[in-house]
Amino acid sequence: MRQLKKWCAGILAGLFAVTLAGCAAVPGQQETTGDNTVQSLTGGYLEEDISPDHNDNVGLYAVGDVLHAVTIENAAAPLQQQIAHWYTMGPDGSWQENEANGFADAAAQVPEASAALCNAYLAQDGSLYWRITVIREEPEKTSQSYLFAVQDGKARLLDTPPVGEVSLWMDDTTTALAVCGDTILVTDNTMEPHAYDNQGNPAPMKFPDIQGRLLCGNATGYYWLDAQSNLQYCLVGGTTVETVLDGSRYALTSPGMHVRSAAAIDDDTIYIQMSDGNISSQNQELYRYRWDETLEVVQGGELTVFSLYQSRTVEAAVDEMIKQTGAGVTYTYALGESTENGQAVVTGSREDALTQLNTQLLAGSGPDVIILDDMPVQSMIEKGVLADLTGIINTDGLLSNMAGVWQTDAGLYAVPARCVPLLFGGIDTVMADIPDAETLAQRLAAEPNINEAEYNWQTDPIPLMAFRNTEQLFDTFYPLYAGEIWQNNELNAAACRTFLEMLNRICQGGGRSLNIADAAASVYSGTSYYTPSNGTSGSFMNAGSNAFCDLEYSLSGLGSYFQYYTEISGNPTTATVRAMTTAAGQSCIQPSCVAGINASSQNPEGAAQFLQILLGQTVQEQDTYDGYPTLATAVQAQWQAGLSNSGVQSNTDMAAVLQEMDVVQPSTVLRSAMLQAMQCYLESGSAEEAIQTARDTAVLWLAEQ
Amino acid sequence: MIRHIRERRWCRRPMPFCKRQNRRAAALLLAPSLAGVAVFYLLPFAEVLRRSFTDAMGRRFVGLTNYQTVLNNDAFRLAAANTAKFVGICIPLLLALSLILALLVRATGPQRGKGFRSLFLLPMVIPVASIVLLWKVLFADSGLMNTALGAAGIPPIDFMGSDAAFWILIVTYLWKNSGYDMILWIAGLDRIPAAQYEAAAVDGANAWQMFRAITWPGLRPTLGITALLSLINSFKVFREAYLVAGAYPHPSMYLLQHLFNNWFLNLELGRITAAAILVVLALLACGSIGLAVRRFQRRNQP
Repeated sequence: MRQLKKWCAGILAGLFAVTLAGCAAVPGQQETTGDNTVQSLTGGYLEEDISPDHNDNVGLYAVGDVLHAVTIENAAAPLQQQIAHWYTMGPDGSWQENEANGFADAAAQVPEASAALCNAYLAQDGSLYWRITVIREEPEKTSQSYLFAVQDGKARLLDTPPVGEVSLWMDDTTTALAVCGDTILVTDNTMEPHAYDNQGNPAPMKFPDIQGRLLCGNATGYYWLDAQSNLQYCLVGGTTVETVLDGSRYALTSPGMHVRSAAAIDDDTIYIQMSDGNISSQNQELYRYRWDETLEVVQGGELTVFSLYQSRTVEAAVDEMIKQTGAGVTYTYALGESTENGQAVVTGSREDALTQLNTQLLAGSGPDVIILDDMPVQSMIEKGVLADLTGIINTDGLLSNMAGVWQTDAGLYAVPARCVPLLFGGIDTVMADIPDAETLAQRLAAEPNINEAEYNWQTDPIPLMAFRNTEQLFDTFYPLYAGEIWQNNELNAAACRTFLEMLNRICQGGGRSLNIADAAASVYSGTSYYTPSNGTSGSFMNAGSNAFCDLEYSLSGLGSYFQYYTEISGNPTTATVRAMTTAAGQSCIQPSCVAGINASSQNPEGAAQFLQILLGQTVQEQDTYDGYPTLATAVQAQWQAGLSNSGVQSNTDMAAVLQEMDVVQPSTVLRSAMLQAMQCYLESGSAEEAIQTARDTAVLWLAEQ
Repeated sequence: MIRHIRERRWCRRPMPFCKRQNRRAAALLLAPSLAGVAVFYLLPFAEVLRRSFTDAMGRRFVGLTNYQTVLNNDAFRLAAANTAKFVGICIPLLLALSLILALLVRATGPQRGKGFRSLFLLPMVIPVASIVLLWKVLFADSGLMNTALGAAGIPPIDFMGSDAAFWILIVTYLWKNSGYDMILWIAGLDRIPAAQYEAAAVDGANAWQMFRAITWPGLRPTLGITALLSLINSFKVFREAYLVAGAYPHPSMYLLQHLFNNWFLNLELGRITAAAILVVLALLACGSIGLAVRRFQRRNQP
């Protein structure tokens, strides 16, 4: 037995020595598993934007080998102000207009109404029909449809539709119709497909298991769009399905857009009309898909992207990467996020999600790209979890303060794709008198309490600002003062006292009646002065105040603020917005959507390409309501788009404003500690007690560092 | 002298063949279990030991840096002190309480004793989530306890935000585990021959004398295993503490597991492994002291 013990001890010692010697292995050597090679294939569908001038499409049809597009100009205007265009695509690919569309004649025969919906149908014999549905609000909401047949440019009202495709089209239960030679396919309200002959009589026909939406047909078969936005094709009467287009590689999956209509001609050329669903935005595109045998299609490798919270910016980048490279990109996020009464509510456990991620990272696996929001970025850099991006990612054109946030002597390890600045804007005369946050606080403290029942928001003076609950007030100003309050991992009591007293003065003025423990909305419904958590900034339009001071998530939404100020000031005004600062000049811009590459990534080239797409113009320009772009040109583009949508002018160089702002990254734990201190102060009125609360709450976290 | 030793070796009697065979058979039969223990316990422990001398990713040797960092860390010192205090208070209390319960339950007789045993074991099977809910109902600011205190004219106590949190942890631990330890004590008591008690009764011994002279010496083997299992269960109280008070509770109930959890979120694997090794060394030291005391007592026994 003694010998056995010696053997066991010897084996253990040997194991220990061997594993310790494993430290001498060259770092960074990873065994590559899985196929991440990029393949190049020849032959694919070429996507071309062939939108005509007026592209609010109300009918897209192929008659023979010719494409017809019927569009309406001023679709949101009253019926008599709308103008229809009937375009035909010529052999050279250019649009030619047929003036004899008969719409004006049809509109003149329809009684006036507050709203009207117009659709056109082009039968296979070349006859054009108009269906105009008028909607009346008084005395009660009703609608009535009128059917017109166009002949020689004149519209004739029909009592009944002609049998066949037109009658099926006019049927209220028809959701989609496709003409396939002598067979007409229709889907009803339940999305079940039915077949008819060209007289409109039911025809028995087998269908495959269609899970999607019928789009159009040609002489031999029909197309439909499945749930993954892939275009599927089946022969008439057959059950074999062919995937024609992988939607993820084309505009079919563009964020915010959906397929409105489609047409196909017999040479398998497909035309698809995309729309954002908003009549007044006029954001529609018509694409042609033609098979090109010489087209080189790149099929990229596999890539995984992970974040704690859902990010629309990341989704846009994933979509763009699939389109560009065909890579199989998988994006997963761990936690759900919603807003209740203006407060962010998270479902799921951040600690559990981080534990799972860290286990993977420490084991040398994990996602290729990590979106580092609400993660210990600095610790991950120090531990060597993130790859050095120097020479891999091109950060030219990024806001200089954003590009250098995680630049260390050893390299660059993470780059933010979005930023959230604390901005101040409003009517010029109001802004001129408020140079900094302290002055703003004094003015707010002097405001009448609009949350009292006596305040009449319709007759009493418009307030400077109003807020919904104290936590949101806190989240607006805290990032500005976080650096002064927590210095070298210690609480600066003087700065903390100043901050708490400032918030208290604001609460005394504008929100005294709010129950701190109860975040219910104030009696002044529509009041909203708060830190929006994604997509809520739009509700500020109901605020009715003279200025705003917000952590901003949408540049294009900013323009709508100034449209409002223009209206209430009564004069066209030049929009002005600037960084909100402390009296000492400290401003605040928080990096967001911070991306890094896992040092153990199985596909580092793909990860680098993803980051480049994330920071590229296409993705940066998209308004995803989760922060401002960090690419300077995209900042200007979004800013100008927002102003132009609102009809307001501005001389503000937004990129310059953002670039000068101080980067702040408040710790989540210290934020919670200060929030508790604020709540304690508002309850007890004792600054010392509040400061002690902050210290007690943060003591363990600070001790762990 | 050396020649004598050599001769002695030549003269040593060889091991009987059957004894060698027995040893080989034992080794073969133990091999699967030992392999499992090695793979799931020994090898991971060796890896933990290795990582305590390396950086977080296990690539670079850093010597004793992790140990120095851990020993100088205020949070570790607080957590270790709290854990030691918790174990130091809880284990003796639990052993004493469960022994008293065992003696009382045995005294009620076999039939009624069964019912009491089941009752005392019930807290052990209650899910952690239910206990957490119970805590919140009892000890929240407007919970049952404060309501009762208010009715008695006593100002409310912030149970979870003051030093009272530590004592609530202890009470919960005692309440949950006393039934289990009671069963172990009862098993130990059942091993003591009844004839010894009868003989003592004939000699006129009272209950305390019987306990001191017969029961307690007879329970010594049970004491070891009960104490060990109680120690293991003491680490599980972290679940309730974490679910109620989160990652950063009141400092009085901040335990080593809280620290390890939070360090892991920051990828501080070097610190975690170093701290774990220090805890193991501390436990080994306590165990060694206990063994040394026992050997000393045995040597001094008449």
